[in-house]
Amino acid sequence: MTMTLTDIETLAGRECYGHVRELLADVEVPVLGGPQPQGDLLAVPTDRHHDDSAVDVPRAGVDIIEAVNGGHAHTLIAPDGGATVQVRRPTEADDLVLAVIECTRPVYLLHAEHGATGLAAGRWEIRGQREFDAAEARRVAD
Amino acid sequence: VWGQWDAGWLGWTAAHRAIGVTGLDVVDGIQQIGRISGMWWARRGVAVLTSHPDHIHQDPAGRLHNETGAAMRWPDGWSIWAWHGRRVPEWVITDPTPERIAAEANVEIRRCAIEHMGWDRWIDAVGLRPIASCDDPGNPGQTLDLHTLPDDPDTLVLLVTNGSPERDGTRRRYGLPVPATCRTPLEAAAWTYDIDPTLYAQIARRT
Repeated sequence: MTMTLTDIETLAGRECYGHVRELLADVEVPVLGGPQPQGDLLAVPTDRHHDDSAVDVPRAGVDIIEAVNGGHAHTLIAPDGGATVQVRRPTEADDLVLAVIECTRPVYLLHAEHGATGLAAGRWEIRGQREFDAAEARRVAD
Repeated sequence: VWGQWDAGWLGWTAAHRAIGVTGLDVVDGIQQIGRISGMWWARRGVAVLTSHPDHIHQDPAGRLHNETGAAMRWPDGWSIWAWHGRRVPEWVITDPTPERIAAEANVEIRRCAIEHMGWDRWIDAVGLRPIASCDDPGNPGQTLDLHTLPDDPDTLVLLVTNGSPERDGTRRRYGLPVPATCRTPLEAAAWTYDIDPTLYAQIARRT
């Protein structure tokens, strides 16, 4: 089943910004099997399995990245079910994996400023983005 | 409790009462306080009320924003600063300098401060020198630009561009510090997610 941004917003019960909807509301959201960034997150295919803390992804979605600093949440939506997600809280600076998804049907990531990103059936890691801190790196190396 | 900020809802209940709807006594107190107070907090035996702000500045899109001072200020001087809806520290508005920007850990706050300074001015001020550039995979028409920093041989700065446009059609840019061991813009972008550059090159769509 193909989904437009409007279909996904309706399921999730939330709307993207007007200027995002103007561009994309009725456009089919591509479901891809390769790496796809959404803002500062990157969804990448993985061999990794999630652990026992994984939960079913509701059709209406679950926020896998909470809104912080006046920003917006990244919401994971499973229109056809068949998806589980493990939300992680990494404590090591170089552990970037924020969530692990296993799905037998496509799932979608929704964000108010970025619209929707379609992930094909399979296993996925959601990675956060890091920055280099030369002072910190020197401290670790010392 | 939202106090005056609930004016829409408080007005809606007041209108219902005016046309004879009963059973709205429970909102009486909230309505009275809403006339005199901003946000307020009720605790057992004590309540904290705040006064109305003296001023509120917004951008044309209705987001909190003021380029020259506080976006909201209360009579006692307590203020908050904001850049197009993003709450920021005071220095971002009143005195954005390259030194403060470099010391700021939050990339969004850095972006706001650099936008306030102007990207061109900031790039000149910190002496960024372009060393390599390539197309940004999945982000048509945009590039990944790698720069050196004059006083820090261990760090490079990767300039990237948002995959989604803003309301006015412009796109946000971000400067991401990466280690100088990165040899190409693609390696630098892949480093930020700790993935292989060949995987980063396969990105078909960025939003």
